[in-house]
Amino acid sequence: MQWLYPAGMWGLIALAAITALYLLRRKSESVTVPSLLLWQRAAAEQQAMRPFQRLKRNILYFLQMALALLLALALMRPAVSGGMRGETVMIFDLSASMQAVEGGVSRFDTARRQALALLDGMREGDRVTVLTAGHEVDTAISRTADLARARSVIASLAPENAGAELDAAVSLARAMARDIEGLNILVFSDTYEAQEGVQTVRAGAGAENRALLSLSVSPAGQAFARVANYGGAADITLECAADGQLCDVVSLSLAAGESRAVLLQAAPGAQTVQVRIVEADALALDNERWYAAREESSWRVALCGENVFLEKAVALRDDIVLLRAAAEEAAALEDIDLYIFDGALPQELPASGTLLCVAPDRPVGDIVPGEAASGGGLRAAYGEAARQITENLLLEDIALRAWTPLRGGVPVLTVNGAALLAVSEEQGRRMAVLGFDLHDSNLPMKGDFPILIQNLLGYLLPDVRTSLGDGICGEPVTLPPAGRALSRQVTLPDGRALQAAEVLEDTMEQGVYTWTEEYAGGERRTARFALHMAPEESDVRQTGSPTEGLRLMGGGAAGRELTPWVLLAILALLLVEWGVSRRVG
Amino acid sequence: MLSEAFLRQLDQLRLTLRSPAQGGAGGLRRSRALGSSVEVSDFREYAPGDDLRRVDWNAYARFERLFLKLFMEEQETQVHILLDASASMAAEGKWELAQSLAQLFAYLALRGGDRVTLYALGGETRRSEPLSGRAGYLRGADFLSALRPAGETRLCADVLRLPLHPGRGVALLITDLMSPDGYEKALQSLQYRRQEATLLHVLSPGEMQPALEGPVRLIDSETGEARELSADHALLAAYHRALEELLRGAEAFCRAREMRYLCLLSDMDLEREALHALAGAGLIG
Repeated sequence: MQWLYPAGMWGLIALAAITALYLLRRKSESVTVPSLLLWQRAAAEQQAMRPFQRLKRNILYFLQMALALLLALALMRPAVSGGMRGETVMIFDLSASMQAVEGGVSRFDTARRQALALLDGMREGDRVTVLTAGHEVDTAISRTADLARARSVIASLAPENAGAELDAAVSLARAMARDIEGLNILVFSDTYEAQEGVQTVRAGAGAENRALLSLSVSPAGQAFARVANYGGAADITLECAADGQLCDVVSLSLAAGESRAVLLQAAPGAQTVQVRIVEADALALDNERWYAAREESSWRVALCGENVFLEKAVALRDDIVLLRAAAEEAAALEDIDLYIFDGALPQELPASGTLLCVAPDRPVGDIVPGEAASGGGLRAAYGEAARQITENLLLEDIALRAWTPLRGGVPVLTVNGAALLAVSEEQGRRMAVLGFDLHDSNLPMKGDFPILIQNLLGYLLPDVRTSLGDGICGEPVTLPPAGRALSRQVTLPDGRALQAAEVLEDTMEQGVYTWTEEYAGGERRTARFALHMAPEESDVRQTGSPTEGLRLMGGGAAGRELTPWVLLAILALLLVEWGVSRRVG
Repeated sequence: MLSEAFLRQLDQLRLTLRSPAQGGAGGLRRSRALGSSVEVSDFREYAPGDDLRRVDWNAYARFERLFLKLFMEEQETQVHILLDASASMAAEGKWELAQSLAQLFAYLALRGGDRVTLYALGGETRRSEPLSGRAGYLRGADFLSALRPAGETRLCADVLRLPLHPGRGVALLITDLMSPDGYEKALQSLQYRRQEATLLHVLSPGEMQPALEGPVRLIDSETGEARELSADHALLAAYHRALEELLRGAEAFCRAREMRYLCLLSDMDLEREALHALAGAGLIG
C-alpha cells in the first residue's frame, strides 16, 4: 500500500472536529415534567436493550467518523502494488542537501524508499532507467527489465558532497523520451520542481541547519569563520582545532537566518586548522571546515643571455630563484625548473625543466622557426593557453620591426595568421617560444611586457599556492605541471594516495588533500588544499512543492489506485447515514 | 367556579348511578330499603311483629288473609369526590379541569339530593365537611377553590386511609394516575368499602405527545428528582408504549370490576367536549 498524496492525511482533522461537535452537542436541556413515572418505565425498557440502544444512539456518530476517515483516505489517494506498466526514467538527485536528515531519515533514503515502492508497483516487462544527477550525470542502469537489478542499483546509490546537474539529467531523459513513447520521467529530489512531462517525487519537507560557509587563517593564527543559521534563532558552539589540538571554543547566539563572521584563536604556524559546529543539525556535512596552510616553495630559473628586461620581469615573482648563466653552461646547473634562452640555443638542450626560448635559432620541441618577416599587428590566438597567457595584455600598442613565424605547438600570439608566440608540452614538460627578438619591438618598453612574462611564468611555473586553492567538492582540481618532479601524488582526506595526473578528478570527499612532488635527490615539495561541499547546498529550510499525484503513462496511476473504490464506499456510507438519520431523527 | 349559565344547563342533567341508593335520611333516589313512601313495591303475608299500620285491609276484606304493603323507600346517596391535588396535576390545565369536574359532579349530586364529601389527595389529605343542598354546593366550591396542587401522590396509601362514610356510596376519583404506588389497590379499596367507583383519568397533551428532542434533563414536578435521558426516537417510542400500557391497563382494570373509566384531556372544553364525553360514558344523563 502506498499513498500518492500523503498530505491528504490532514483530512483526519475532520475526525477530531466531528467528535468535538458531538461533545458540544451533548449539553442537555432541563425540562420539568409532571411525573417521571412513565419516563422511568420507558428508560427501563431501553435499559433492557442497552448495548443495542447505545449502539443505535451513537450509530450516526460512528457513521460520520467512518465517512470522515474515508474522505481522508480518498484525499491521500491510496494505491496498491501491481498497476504500473510502461517505461520509466528515475533521476536521483545526489546533491549534498539530499544528505539532510528529517525525522531520523535522510532525504536520499526517503527518495530511495519511494523509488523502491514504485518499483514494487511495476509489472513484468516494465523497463526502468536510473540516472544519477550529481556533479555530473551518470547512467546507473539503462532500460532494464530486470527489476531486481534495478533495485540493487538504486539500493547502492549514495548522495555526493557536491551540487546536482539535474537539468542535464532531465535533458538526457527528455532526449530518451523523444524515442520512447509514453516514457515516464520521475525526479527524486528535494528541490527540483516538476515540469511539463517531468514529475517530481519530493524528498523532505524542510529542516533547520547551521553551516560554516568559509574559513581563513591569518599568519598570526587568527581564524575567521563565517557561520550561517538557516533556521530559527539558535545558540551554537564553535570549536577550533589546530593540527588536531583544540585551541578555542566560542559560543554565540544567532538570530533566524543570520550569517555572522566569528573570530577564533588558532595556533600560529599551524598546518591545518579545523573549525566545527558542536550542535547537531539536519546536515552534518557543513558543520566542519578546514584551512590548510601553504608551504613556502621556490622555483629555480636559469636565465641565459644578457637581457635586463627579462631579468627584471622574471624577478618580480618572489618564489623564483634566478640564476644567470651562459647558454652552454646552463645544462650543467642542477635542479633548474625553468631555462630561459634569449637568442642562440646551446648545442644540446637540457634534459629536464621547462623552456622559454626567445628568438631561437633552431626548432624547440615541435615548434619550428620559419623565415624572417616584418610588419603586421599582433593578435591573440584562440584557446585556453592563449587566453591564460594573453590575459590583461593590450596588444594594439605593440609594434614589431622583425619577427620569425613559428610552426607547430599551440599558437598564443599571431601576426597575420602566423604564430609569433607558441607553447607546447611534451611528456609533461612545457615549453614556450617567442618568435622575435625583444630588441626588435617596443614590447619591453611597455607595461604589457612584465604582464606577458608573468603570464608565461604562470603557465610554465604555476604557483602552487594559487593553483591549489580551496575548492568545492566534485570540481576537478588542476595540478601543477610535473616540471622536473620525479613523482607526484595526492593524498585524499581518507588517507588514500593517488598518483596525480594533471587533473585530480576524485574530489568528492570533503577535507584536506595533500599534494606531494618528489625530485631527484630526495627533495620533496608539499602543498595542502581543502575541499568543501557547495555552500548553496546548506540551506535546507525549503524544499520544492510536495509530490502531486503521480500520473504514470502506459498503465494509469502508480500502482493500482484505490481512490475510486474509496469514493464508492463513501457514497454507500452516505446512503446508509441518510437512512439511519431518517430512522433515528 | 362554574358559571351560572353552565349550572342552569346542568339542571337538566343528573348523576347516573348503577346501584340503588342506600343512605340515612330521606332522599330523592330509590333504594332497596323498603320504607314509607307512597310508591308500593310489593306485598307479603303478615308475620307476627309486623307493623299493623302497613296491613292492607282492602286485601284482607277480599282474601281474608293479612297482607302487608311493601313501599320503595326513597333515600339520599353518599357521594365521595376524591380529587388528586398533587403537584403533577398542575401541568397544562389538568388541575383546572379536575377542579371543574369535581364541582360539576358535586353540583349534580347535591341537586339530586345526595350528600357530597370532597377529598383532596396529595401531600396531606384534606376533606370538606359533608355537603348537602344548594348551600353545600357553595361551600364545596369554596373548598375546591382554596386547594392548590402540591406534594406527592400516594393514591393507594391515601385512599386506604380515607375515612369514608359507612355504607354504600359513590366514589369519584379524579386523578392523572401518576402515582408511584399504583392505583389498583385504591380502587379495590373503594369497591371493598361498597363504593360505586368511577375513575376519571385526566392527562395533559404534553403527556400524550411529549415534545422533547435530544439530550434532556427531566425533572419530576412532585419529587424534584432529575434524570438525564436522550429523547431520541427509541425513548419516545418506549414512552408511548408505557403510556398506552397505563391507559389500557386502567381501562381494563375498571371494566373487569364494573367500575367506570373515562380519560379526559386537559385541553378539552368543559362545557362541550368534556360534558359530551361524560354523557357518552354514562356518568351523567
